[in-house]
Amino acid sequence: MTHEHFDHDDFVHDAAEQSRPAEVTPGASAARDGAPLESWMIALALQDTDVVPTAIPREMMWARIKQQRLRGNGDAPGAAPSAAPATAHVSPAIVQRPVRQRPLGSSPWLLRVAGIAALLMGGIGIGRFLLPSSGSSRHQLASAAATTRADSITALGLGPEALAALPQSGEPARVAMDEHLARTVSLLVAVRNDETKNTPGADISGWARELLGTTRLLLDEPQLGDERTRRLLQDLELVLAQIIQVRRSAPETARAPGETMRETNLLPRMRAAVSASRPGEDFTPGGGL
Amino acid sequence: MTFGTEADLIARVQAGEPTGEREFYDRHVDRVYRLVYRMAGRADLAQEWTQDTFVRAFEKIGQFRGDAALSSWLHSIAVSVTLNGLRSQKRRDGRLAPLDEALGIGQLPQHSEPDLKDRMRCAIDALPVGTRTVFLLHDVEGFTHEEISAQLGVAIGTSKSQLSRAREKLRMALLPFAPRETA
Repeated sequence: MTHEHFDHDDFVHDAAEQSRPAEVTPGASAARDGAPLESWMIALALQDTDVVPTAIPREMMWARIKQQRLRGNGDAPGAAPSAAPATAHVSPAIVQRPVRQRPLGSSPWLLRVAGIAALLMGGIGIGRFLLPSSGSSRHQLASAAATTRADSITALGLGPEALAALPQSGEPARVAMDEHLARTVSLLVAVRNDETKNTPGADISGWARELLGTTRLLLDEPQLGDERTRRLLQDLELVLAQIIQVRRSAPETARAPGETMRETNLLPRMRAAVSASRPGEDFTPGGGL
Repeated sequence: MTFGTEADLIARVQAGEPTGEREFYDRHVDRVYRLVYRMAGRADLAQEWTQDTFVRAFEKIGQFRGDAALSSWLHSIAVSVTLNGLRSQKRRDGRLAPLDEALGIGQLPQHSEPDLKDRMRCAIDALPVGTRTVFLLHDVEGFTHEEISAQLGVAIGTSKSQLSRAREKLRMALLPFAPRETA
């Protein structure tokens, strides 16, 4: 049985309830348990077909399950580099959840804080001992920093044009993702607007193929490993793959990208992510929702 | 759709047979999804955690020895995944509430004059997560206290007392609104 993550605190509502004699007296508990809920209340609890969607997205969930398992099995290098071999093909989200079982040092935010602290210490050290010595040293350091940043972005698979268009500040992977999302929104809007067509044009498929490659590279980027970003990129990956897989001989495949976009609320989430990264700008590529 | 026996199906899934995995999924996905949805209250979370449940089930199917029904075993994974997810979600919502509101993926809409069904849903959602889980598993899903005890890893008495508490709270929340003929 799988209850290793079950927390008995989940049962405790408050201290007063814990100490109530009726709850700890077996006889009383059994007597009350013998009185089922009124039938109309049970009927209400069962009668939730308007709350639980009648159309469960089985195919979409199955596609994602296969995707997660493929990713975990090593088809996407770097997807879960820190996972132990025994849990390598479990969803990274599952691996990360048992917080209490995770060693303190591997907590993401602790690592982030440690990283920032190390950067600050390094910066202070450089400022005190290296920069005052000569102008050429300062130049060398600046060049090294620029090269590191460019290498990091190049590793994401962006070409020279994208590199040139990137803002000069911000975390490289995050900046690259924002640029990628902004470009992808335009494609998704085009696909959504052409949903009535049976097959997308060759240019759309080629465009989607290119964006899918970048999406997968971003998925493997450790700096973008937070749950929200990962889910967004996974949903995007699925939609792009569906766009590429649209076949004239199977009309139902043409509807899949649009359905997934609606079910996952993808466009609004992408726009929100891009808007959040561009405070003060009104981001509306592709028009309204 | 014709299904083989459960033992055959388990053997096929354990052997990694793709059609067996798909049959296993088809047979159980609706019930797992509904349970997770009832516990989570949101479609996006239900999708995510249903997926995680099956990913984990396929990972652990080799450890399944048939001590309990396959559905009970799968539900125990679903409950575990969902409870862990709810805890993570609670922490995440605390940090990202404004963004969630902006995305429009928050909780179900609150009506000023909710009907009885909405009141029931709100009352269930207001239960502590463990109490809610026991109520859903017992009164909605139809599991016995023995099965719930095994799924959650708690004593049978705990399951009974939590069910009693859940019923008491639901009665308090709903009795004032009972239909005339039953009041």
